[in-house]
Amino acid sequence: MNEAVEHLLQRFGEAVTEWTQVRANEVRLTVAPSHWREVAQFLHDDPLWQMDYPADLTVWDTGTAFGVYLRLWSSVHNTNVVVLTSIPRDEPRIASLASLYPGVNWHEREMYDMYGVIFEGHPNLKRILLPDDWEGFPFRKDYVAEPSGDPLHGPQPVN
Amino acid sequence: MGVKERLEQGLIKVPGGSILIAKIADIMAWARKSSMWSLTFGLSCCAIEMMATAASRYDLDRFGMFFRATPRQADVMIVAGWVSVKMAPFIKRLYEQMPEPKYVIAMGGCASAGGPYRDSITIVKGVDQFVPVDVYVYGCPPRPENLILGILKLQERIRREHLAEKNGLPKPVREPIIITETGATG
Amino acid sequence: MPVSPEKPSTLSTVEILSQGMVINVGPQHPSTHGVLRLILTLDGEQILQCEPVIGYLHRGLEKMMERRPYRHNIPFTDRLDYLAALSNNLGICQCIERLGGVEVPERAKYIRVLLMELQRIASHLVFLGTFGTDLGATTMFLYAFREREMVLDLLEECTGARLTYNWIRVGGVPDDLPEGFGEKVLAFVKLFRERIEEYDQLLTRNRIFRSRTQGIGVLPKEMALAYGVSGPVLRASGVAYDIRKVDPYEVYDRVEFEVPVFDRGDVWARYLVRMEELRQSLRIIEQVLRDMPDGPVQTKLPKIFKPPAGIAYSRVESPRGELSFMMVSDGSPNPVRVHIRAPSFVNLSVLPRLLEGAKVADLVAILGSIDVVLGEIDR
Repeated sequence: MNEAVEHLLQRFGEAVTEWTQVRANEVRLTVAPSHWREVAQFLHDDPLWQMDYPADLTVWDTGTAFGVYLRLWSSVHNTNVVVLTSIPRDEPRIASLASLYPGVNWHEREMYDMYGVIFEGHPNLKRILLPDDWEGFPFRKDYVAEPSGDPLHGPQPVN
Repeated sequence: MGVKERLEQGLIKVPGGSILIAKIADIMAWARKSSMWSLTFGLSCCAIEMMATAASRYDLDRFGMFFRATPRQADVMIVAGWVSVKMAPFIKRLYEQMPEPKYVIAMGGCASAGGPYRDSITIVKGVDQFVPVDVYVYGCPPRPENLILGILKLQERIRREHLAEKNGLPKPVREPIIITETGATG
Repeated sequence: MPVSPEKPSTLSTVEILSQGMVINVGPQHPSTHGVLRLILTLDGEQILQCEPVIGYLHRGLEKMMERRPYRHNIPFTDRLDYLAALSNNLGICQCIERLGGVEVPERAKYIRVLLMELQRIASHLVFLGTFGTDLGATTMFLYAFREREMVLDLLEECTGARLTYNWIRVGGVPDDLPEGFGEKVLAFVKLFRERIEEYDQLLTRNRIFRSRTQGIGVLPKEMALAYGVSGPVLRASGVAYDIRKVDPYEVYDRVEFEVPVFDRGDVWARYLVRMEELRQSLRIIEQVLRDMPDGPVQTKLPKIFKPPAGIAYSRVESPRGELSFMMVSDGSPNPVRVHIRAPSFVNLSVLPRLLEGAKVADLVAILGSIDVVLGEIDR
């Protein structure tokens, strides 16, 4: 896969801040959030990569920033790539990949639902798992639920 | 003569004849207990055990239980699984759509009290917070035998309720039946 | 079913179009396989638009896992995809093992594969039963559950539970197989081979069943890949993506089996893939029992398990597709983040595309062929 990584580095240079070969057919890349969409597009189109299968996309909260994790697979080369980036917590915005990979559409909606990350350019960014009138983003580390006495509405008290 | 055995109280035998005379309330109570139709309403893991209870080996049809897809034809609702705040209004609505008299079986830990998800903010801590529950069945998920015991106990109760009414006794307060590891209480 | 009047904001999430009729299916519906709700826009009998509404079982499982030590989270995974609890157990255990660099003894690997394949048979039998019922062959339900009880008896003898096994541990399995287990499994394999023939007679060679499934709900290969669907749904569309072959785990690289792939991409092909997988699972079980070495089944681990900081993911082929756990650790006893890539979640996201232009009567067949489990979709 070295040749493919070289090709990617030539194209993006500084935007790919780190890369490691995890296994023979797996590479882990860390990219700048500003180039998120471009890197994904390159991985999708480039004949050396041809990452045509969106396996997974998720977000996690480190307490200071949101990490974004994207895993792709190539049905042509049987190679895997994990792309990581980090976005600020007070301005959680990143480009949406839903038009490139329709499979991440629901993953992005879920991450909006749970973390409040805005995926720019997403066709239908709204709550998916929680009720539409839920307040706050419960997967954030600083989320505190207000107990509600009504069993049919809102967060449930723990007792 | 299954009918005769089960209607032993309040049955008048006509000498020399083969006619059984009983009060219509008794016959109805017997009929209702023997044909408790259940709502096809599965939530999660317990629903799979509920399906297994209805399937080949455990065969709920033996007890007159038959699954109906609409609440309008159902007598008993088996809440089989955890109840989230998003689902709770639907369960309440389904319960309200069922005709009286109606019964609720809370199957498993989640429907009874929240189960392993008791500290989750989106889970209602037991379906009894918004609908009255007649039977709590222990287990996560309960074995089919447990569920069947709960159903049998509920049948006994339905039978007894109406006998009490007939004999002029005050109608018993509906204390819930609790199926535990060692048997049934309540 | 009408929705609650108390919560007007959840009433409808699609705008009512000037043409077409909006019809609501679920969340309580006998054929939605759980509490799935579909808002359909119809033109006569044709579906113009479908919007799935999910989340009726949401319990914030991923967040709950962050509050518990790594190994305390294994019982939760039983209740994710409750038809394949062991696959989910294995998924999370593999992820923790990769994060902490834990080795698994050889015998435990074989036991895991044996249990996985028994679990796959039990899960596919539920698919066959419910799918048959959905299409009007109610007998199939009774047949499939008869055999499923046999598998459950075997699994219960080994693990002590019927549905939520909680039997895979980090670093192996908790205990060895019970005595005489292999013979019982082989007896079942022999019997089950004959029973698959019965299913073939009942469904595969059934004219009505064929006309209700063939050419319905076609998912082209490119769309299947772009949507990231996995498991039998993807293999029925002509992509040989099976984690057991693509990224072999445990001892799947040492057993011989074939991955059934069909190009048709319709409901019929998805059914055939699962039928063939049943046969392949039997092959794997026989080989595993033949080759299983003796030895320990569990690696000793410290009482407080703290994996080094980092990110790890694992993927296993659950009966529904690629089940992947992703964990972030910061070196403390609790994970920072656990993410579950549930195969049903992704597979369901392609449903609106499959239903575009389909007939309402085929909705049940198409949805049934995807074989979703709402427990893992909503998490």
